[in-house]
Amino acid sequence: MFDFTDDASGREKCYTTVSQLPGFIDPTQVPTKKSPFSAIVNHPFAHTVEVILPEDVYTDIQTSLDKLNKPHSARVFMLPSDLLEHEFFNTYIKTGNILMISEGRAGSDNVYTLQDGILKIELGRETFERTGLTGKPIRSGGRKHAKERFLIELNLRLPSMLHGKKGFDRIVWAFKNVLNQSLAWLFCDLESTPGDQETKPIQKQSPQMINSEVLKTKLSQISTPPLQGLVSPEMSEGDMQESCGAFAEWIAMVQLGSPRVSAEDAVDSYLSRYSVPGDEGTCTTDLISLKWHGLISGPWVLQLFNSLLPSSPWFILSVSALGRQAVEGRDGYTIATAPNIHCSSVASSGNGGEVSESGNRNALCWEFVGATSIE
Amino acid sequence: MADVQRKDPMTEAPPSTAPKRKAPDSTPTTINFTSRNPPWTYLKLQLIPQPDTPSLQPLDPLSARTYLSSALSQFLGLTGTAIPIDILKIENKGSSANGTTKYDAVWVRVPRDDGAAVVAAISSWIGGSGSGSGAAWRVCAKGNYLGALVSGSGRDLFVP
Repeated sequence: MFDFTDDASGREKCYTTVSQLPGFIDPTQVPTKKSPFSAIVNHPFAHTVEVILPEDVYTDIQTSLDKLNKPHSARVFMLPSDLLEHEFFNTYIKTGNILMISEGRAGSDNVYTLQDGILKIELGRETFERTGLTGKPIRSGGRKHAKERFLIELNLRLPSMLHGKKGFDRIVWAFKNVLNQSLAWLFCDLESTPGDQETKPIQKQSPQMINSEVLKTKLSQISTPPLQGLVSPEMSEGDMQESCGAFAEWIAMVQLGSPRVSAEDAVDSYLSRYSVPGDEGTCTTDLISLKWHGLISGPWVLQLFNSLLPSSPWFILSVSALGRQAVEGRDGYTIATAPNIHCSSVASSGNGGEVSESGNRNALCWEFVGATSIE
Repeated sequence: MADVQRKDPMTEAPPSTAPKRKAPDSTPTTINFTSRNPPWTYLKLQLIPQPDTPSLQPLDPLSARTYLSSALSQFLGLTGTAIPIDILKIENKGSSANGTTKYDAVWVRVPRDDGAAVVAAISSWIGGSGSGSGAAWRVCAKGNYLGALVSGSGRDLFVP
């Protein structure tokens, strides 16, 4: 109707995958190449993890969920050169395994991430050239008026990365002379529990622990659309997009705590015309939302997912990513698992979608890319 | 507009042509597709009062709708008021789930094609001249998938 162009909107995407979950998952050998596990592994830095499941199921599995270690992370203020201090470097990067991410917005600030011993630095051309380190340009997505950005990737676990070696001293020089501003970082030690932090080298930086206690919210009387038969072989691609999109919207509405999904909501159509999808099949359910907030690692989410899988008939896991790229950044993902999301024609005609073979569980995974969040 | 492909481990036929051989029913199939053009755009808007005005009433759905309509009609005329807006949620000051917020906020949904026009209209609006309740809208988040926006950007973690 109006002639306004919207570049950002055109780059937004949602990858949807419907897959069948294996009957048994060995926690030591998770199929990380397959959806939905691939989505979890591809988002190593998360800031919010939310699980939505029926309240009566939660009361049954509460004790097993409580056994899960809560995610622990800390906020520290340090210089990039502090990463290369002997004690910190040897304990956390060479022998240990940590996740770190610095403050700043990708696309305009210098942003650092450290994962599996690989330090990635995103910076602008001017700073990049002054560091004297090798890097490669980041694709800009053809944006107008955006300055060229570069990515430096340093594998600090290489045998050549030792104090005194030439290539390493170049990094030390760059951190001393160019990248010498103190930053706020989030720090997560993947190899220790919160109890034994007292003697660790991170204490030198006086970390502030982030409390990632689970936040439980009861969501009573929610009209819940059916997950069964959301996709089926007879449906066209457009129909599947619509039904999956509407369900993803409903999930987000529940996460938002919107009154529109409450069964008792009676808002005037002047204010909102939202309606819960799947009009005849909706039922009113008491749900519960469990939310963790902090720097949360991929392995922890995987652990949570694996412990929920055998115990809950259906649940929703939603994860928001930290450290988004400026162009086509990964924003996070939502996974819904339930029996018979992908309805084969035989099953639906026989039992009206009510079949619940224990082996036939599906996972529906949405991966979001490219939204604009300022706060 | 959309790419749909069904991946069968047995048949890797391009999606346009019908597969010659049907995979046996027992093999698990994976369906994946990319959606680029969903029907809606979602916005999180903060209502920022002018510094010299005393204080606004706490935001409610009806006044939010009125402010938005006023912004749209000011910028786009009568056609602007025809853009359907769905109020999804009102977040009042200090009632947010993860901490305190300084301003009232509203989550709305508009048709995706009108999204850019709505953003242009509300970001240029200074409302309530004369009645003494000057206010402006600030766009906090915008996206075509609400699931990507609900938890924010996580920037609050870096602030002590």
